[in-house]
This record gives sequence, C-alpha cells and structure tokens, in this order.
Amino acid sequence: MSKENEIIVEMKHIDMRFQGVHALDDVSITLRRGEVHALMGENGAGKSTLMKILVGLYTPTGGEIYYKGEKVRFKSVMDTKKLGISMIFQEFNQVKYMTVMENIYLGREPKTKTGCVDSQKMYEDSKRLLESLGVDLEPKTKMAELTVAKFQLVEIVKAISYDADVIIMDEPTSALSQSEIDYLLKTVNLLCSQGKAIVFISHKLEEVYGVCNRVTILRDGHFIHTGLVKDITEQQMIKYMVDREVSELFPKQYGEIGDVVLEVKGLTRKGEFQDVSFALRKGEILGLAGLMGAGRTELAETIMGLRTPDSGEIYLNGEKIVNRIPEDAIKRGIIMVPEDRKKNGLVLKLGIRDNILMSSIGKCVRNGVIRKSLEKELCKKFGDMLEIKRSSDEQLCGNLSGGNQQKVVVARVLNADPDIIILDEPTRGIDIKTKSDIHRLMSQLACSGKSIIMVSSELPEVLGISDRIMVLHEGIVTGILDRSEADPNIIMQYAVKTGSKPACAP
Amino acid sequence: MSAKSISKKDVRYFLNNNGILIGFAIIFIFLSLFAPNFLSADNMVNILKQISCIGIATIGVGILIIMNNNDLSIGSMFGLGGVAAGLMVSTSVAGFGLPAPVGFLAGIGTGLLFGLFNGVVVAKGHIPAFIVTMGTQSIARGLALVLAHGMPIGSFPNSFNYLGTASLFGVIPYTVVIFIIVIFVMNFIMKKRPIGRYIYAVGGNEDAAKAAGINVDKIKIQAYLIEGALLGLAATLMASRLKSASPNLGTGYELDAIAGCIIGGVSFTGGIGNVFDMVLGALIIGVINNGMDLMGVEAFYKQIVKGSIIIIAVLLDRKRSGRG
Repeated sequence: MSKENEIIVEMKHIDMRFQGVHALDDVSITLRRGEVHALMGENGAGKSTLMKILVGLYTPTGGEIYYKGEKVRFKSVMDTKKLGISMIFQEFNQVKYMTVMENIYLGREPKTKTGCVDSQKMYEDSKRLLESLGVDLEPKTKMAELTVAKFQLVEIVKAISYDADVIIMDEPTSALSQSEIDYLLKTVNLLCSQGKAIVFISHKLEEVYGVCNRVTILRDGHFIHTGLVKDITEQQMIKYMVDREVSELFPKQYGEIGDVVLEVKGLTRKGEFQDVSFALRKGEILGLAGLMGAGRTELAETIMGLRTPDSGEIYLNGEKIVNRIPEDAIKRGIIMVPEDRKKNGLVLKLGIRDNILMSSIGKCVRNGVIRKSLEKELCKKFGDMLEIKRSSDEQLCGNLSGGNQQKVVVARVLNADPDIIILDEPTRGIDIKTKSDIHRLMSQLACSGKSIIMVSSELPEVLGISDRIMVLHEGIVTGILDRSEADPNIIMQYAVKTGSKPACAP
Repeated sequence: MSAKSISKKDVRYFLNNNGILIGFAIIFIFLSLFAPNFLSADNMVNILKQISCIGIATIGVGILIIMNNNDLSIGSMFGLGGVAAGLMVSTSVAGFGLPAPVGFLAGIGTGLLFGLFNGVVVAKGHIPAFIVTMGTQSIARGLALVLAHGMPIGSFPNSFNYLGTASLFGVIPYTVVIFIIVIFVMNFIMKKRPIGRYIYAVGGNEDAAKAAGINVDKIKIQAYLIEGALLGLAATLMASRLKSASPNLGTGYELDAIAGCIIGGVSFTGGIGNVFDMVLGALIIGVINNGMDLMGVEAFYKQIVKGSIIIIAVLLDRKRSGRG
C-alpha cells in the first residue's frame, strides 16, 4: 500500500542556462509511484528541458536530483535507462527495416553461448512483454508496416523492457487518431496501476483530465503550480500556463459566405480516396474530419498538386484546373499549410526570412534583383502580425519552438496572397496560446473573404471553427454537415461508418 | 572581470565564424616561413593563375552541393570542353581553324549540353546525382578521347591563347580576372536572384521547397546548366592557358573542386554554403599544392597531406557547429 505513493524522483531547484538563455529557473518536481503526472506549459516553457535533464541528456547548471532517495548525477541516457528512467521522444528512434523485436532489443540483443543473436529468446521475451501490456503485435512484424500509434507502443514496450520505473512521454498523442489515443491512454493507466511513475507531457486538456492524477505547470522556465488534477479547473490551468484568461479557445467570427470558389467533382486516387465531391464557398471554413488514414491529407495534397489524381476534376471559379505541381496551385491562389511542418513545411536549415519569403520571393524583386529593404518590410509585417518570437530575421527555423515554426509556415502561406488556404492539422503539437492565435487568424481570414479547408483530427477544433464539416471514412465522404447540425457524436459516427455506401465501383 | 569574459566570448565568436579564414591564415603563415619564395609577388600571381580554372569549377559544383546534388564528371568535362574548343580553333589537320570566339562558345556550349543532360536526368529521372554524373564522367571522357583520337590537340592561334596567357596591364592574368568576375557574378546570383534562394531551399529541404511552390525540377536543371557553363568556361580557359587540349586532362579535378567546397564549409547535406567561402576553400587547396611544390615535397606525399587536410577541416567544422 505504502509503495503506491512512494516518492521515486525528486528534482529540486533545477536551474538551466543555455548560452545566456535561462531555460529553467528554480524548478522542482516530485514523482510518485503509481501516478500519472502531467507536465504542462506552453511551447518553450521548459517542459522538455526539465525532462531531458532527468534522463541525463542535459546537465543542469544548478539544483539536485534524488532518485529512489539517493542524490544522483546522471551523465548519459544509457545511465538513466539502466537505472529505470526512460523517455519516449516525440521523434521516434526506430529502425524501420527491422522487426518489432529487433527494435525493442536494439543494441542489447540476447546472445547465445557462441555470441550470436539469440532470436528465439528475443522472440519469446518480446512476446511476453507485448502480452503483458495487452499490445496485439507480432514481434516479427517489420516496423515499416506499423502505424504511428503502434510505433509509440513499441517505444513504450522498449522502455518497459529496461524495467523502467519512470516513463516520460513527450506529447505521445499528437500524431494519433482518437481510437489510437484511447488505446494508448488505457496502456498508460495499466502501467500506472503496476506502480510505475509516468510523466505525461501534453497540450490536450481532455487527456490530462482523463488520465493524469497530478499536474505541474511551468511557464517561461518558472515553476508555477503543482497539485492534484481534480483540484484545478480547466480555466485555471490555462491561466497558469499563459498568464491570462484565454476566454475562447475557438474564437469564431461569422462572416459573409459567398459563391462557390472551388468545386471538386468525383476526385479519386486509388487506395487513398474515391469519388470525392464537394464545394467550397468564398469566406467559408470547411472542416475535414475523419480518422487517421481516412485520406484527408491525401485529398488535400491532390488539390494542391502534390499528388496526381487518377480521375475526377477540380474547378476554380467555374473553370477546370489541373495542378501538376504546387507551383501551379499557388499561382492560382491555392496554398497549403502542410501537416508535418518539419518535413515539408519549412526549410529548418534556413532562416525565418528565407522561409517566409519562399513562396513569393518575386515580391521582393525589383529590376531582377532581390531588395533587402522589401524583404525586411515583409518579414516585419508578418513577424509582427503573427507575433513570431525571433532574435533576428536570420534566426534558423530549426531553433524555433513548434508554435513559432508553425507561425512561420502560416506567414509564408499568407505572404503568397492566397484566396484558398488549405490547413492540414494547423495546431498539432503547439501550445494553447498559439493555437488560439491561429484559430482567431483563420476566422479573420474567412471574414475577409478567403476560403479555408481545414484538416483536423481534433474534434473540438473542427466543431469550434468550421462553417461546414465534411467527414471522410476510408477515402469515402460519409457526410457533409452544417455547423448547426454537427456534434461530436454525429461526426464520430460518420468517421467510423462502415459499409453505408458501397466503395466506388471501378 | 566582466569585460574580460566578454572579450573572451568575442574571441570565440570570431573564431567560430571565421574558421575558414583562420585556417587559411595559418597555412599561409606557415608556408611563408618555411616554403622558399612562397611570399614573392610572382608566386602569388602564380597561385591565383593556377587555381583560377579549378576555382571556377569549385563554384560550379558548390552550388550543386548547396542544392544537395553533386557532379563527379568535372574532371572529364575539363578534357571534353578543352577538346571541343581546341578542335574548333586548331590549325592542325584535325582542327577547323575557326576564330577564337567560336572555340570559347564551343567549350561553354559543350558544358551547357552536359549540364542540361545531367540536370534533366537527375530532375526528371529521379536518379541520384552521384550515379548520373558518374555515368557522364565516363561518357564525357570517352567522347573526348574519340573526338581527339586519343591525342592532345595543339596548334592553337595566338588569338585563342591570349586569354589564358596574357595579363591585364601586364600584371594580372586574364584567367584571374575572369575568375574574379565569375566569383562576383555567382555571389550575386546566389544572394540577389530568386534562383539562388531557390537553390538553398531545394538543398535545405526539397519536399518543403516543392510544397512551397518552387518548381524543383526546373531549379535543378537551371543549376546544372549554370554549373555546366562554368565547367565549359573553365575547360576552355585551361586549354587556352596550356596552349593545348588533352583528352586526358583533368583526371581527379572533381576531387579538388569538391574538396574546395567542403573545406569552404559547404554542407554536404545541402542548404548551407556561400561563394566566397568556396573560393577560400579553393585557395587553401591551391596554396597547399603550391607550397608543397616549393618545399620540394614529392607528389605522392602531397596527396596524403591534401586528404588529411580535408578530413581535419570537416572535423573542425563539425566541432564548431556542434553537429558532431
């Protein structure tokens, strides 16, 4: 019984400076067995830094760490792993071409007497581990065949295989669909009932309320609050994080909705989506809901010219268009904020300026020469408008926080003067304030006559900001709902709908 | 005390951001002390003359490396470009005896043609540049040998040799003048023309560049065309300087050119680099070559030294930028 609440980790008065930046200032946190501890705060608040110190990636400039009652100084991730602290990073570190079991035991494969890899033992051990968590996975499956959610589970299994007592999850659900999230949260509960301490970094309030017992909130590297989750309201939590009341998470404004600007007829890409037809009106926000793998991103990318449709047509203001490459779409006033900003939204190696101007450098050219003054002007305009935190226009995008990176992508997109903006998961993995900023901006853009297609896996977001909602299920449109008739249940019904409409005959 | 710590920081900042320059200075000072006649004005001009042609090629391949591409056919292009130009102007039986400008156009044209070929196959065929240009390396060399019947071409008119051998005001060789012009034009293109920005973007993240509306295929082809033209120019200048064109010329030049870029801090994964640093890289290689000649180092040892310097330069760069 007493083991339940035994304190396992204490980080006291942690102080961390990176070349002049005070990332953490006197932060303390206590982790207990059998508890899921939410670590919250905006991007850049210091959550990841604190946890990276705990796993030995960083050495703090001040403070003490006690692990199982003893004062410790961790020097490397391998140290902490062996002692039972594991962190599951946002970026997965797995070898895609190896099997599940090979990934779990990567670098410490069980050996036979002759020093060869003991596949039999590896298979049995991993099977036992997977079963203990109720994970329905065959150890000999190749990683490449798995979904992102399964990747995450393999990472967790890997952590447990080190006999981890403390497991840190950094935004584990940001890339998952709802059913996958439910599954993951169940696993988290199971682990916690086994007496492990879990740190759960997340921006999603409903998850924190759903699964966490205790919460610690950081802001700008300072410790703000710690306590039981049930003792604090959502409003308070947001206030602690952003130091002001975010009155509305989805500040929806209602503008005038005009004529049809974009019409998609019977668009099909085999294996991705079939016979998709819809119309987008001027000044409208069309939400695109559905589960992972429903074909939403694929549909958006096909409209953008990143993929070629097998059949079907796209009409812009009544005129048939074919976008071979995104350049064509952008010239016609259609532009997209991609789902994965690091993969195809930004050039991380380049500065803010180059990224903001990438889609429309022509604007800064006079007599064939790029003018510095014009570049500066545009950077300032968008930097100020979107409140991009930056030390200079040349600051590398790779060094920005997730929220700021997303703002740079949005700035680039707006700078191209589009009429139709497609946003794919526009607020994934970014903090609440930026999220609210982006929602407000979307509303403003729609009111000023732009048309928006928003792909989102977060139901509250879809419901909060869309004028109409189109739901896809396995590549088929299962319903288009008006704002007034949509609610979470109906959308989920459409999203998981099976067999209501026969798959498009070839 | 605070003043001291600031100055320390400043020093570190200077060291971090001028590593290439400092490396160059160290090598330069070393050779000034230990290589006889190194510091003479004649030798300085000589070094510049020696590196001009390879330097032009270095800038050419440099923009490709920034674009996360490459070109292994540089050496062969020195052979083929020179032969193409030489055949046009040579007054021997094999040559056409045409005016010098035709020779230069033929050399540059050959470079453009191969640039176009490399660019189109890389961009449209989606084949890694390494493989494509390894192919063209062989094709260009073979073509040069066929055209020249395996023999060096000579008997060029003085009008053709003029650019390679004469000097502006009798002081600065025209090859050096052309090299300097190329440096400034290419720096302008990379910094002030949209294509320059696009090359950085494509090299930094091709997927993002494409999604941002950059016509990636077009940019690749254009970059290979620019590089091809520079190679053609460099090859023709070389023929003009040597007063002959050998189909076997240029073996291994691609390594010197690529090494110049690497020493000059161009990121081999693309997106990072600039023209002046590439030139510094080319200068470092040129100065080392020259210095070792003056010190009487045997050619065999030169290769060992050069190779070591490339690796050390990259190691230092890694350490400096914390990428290691």
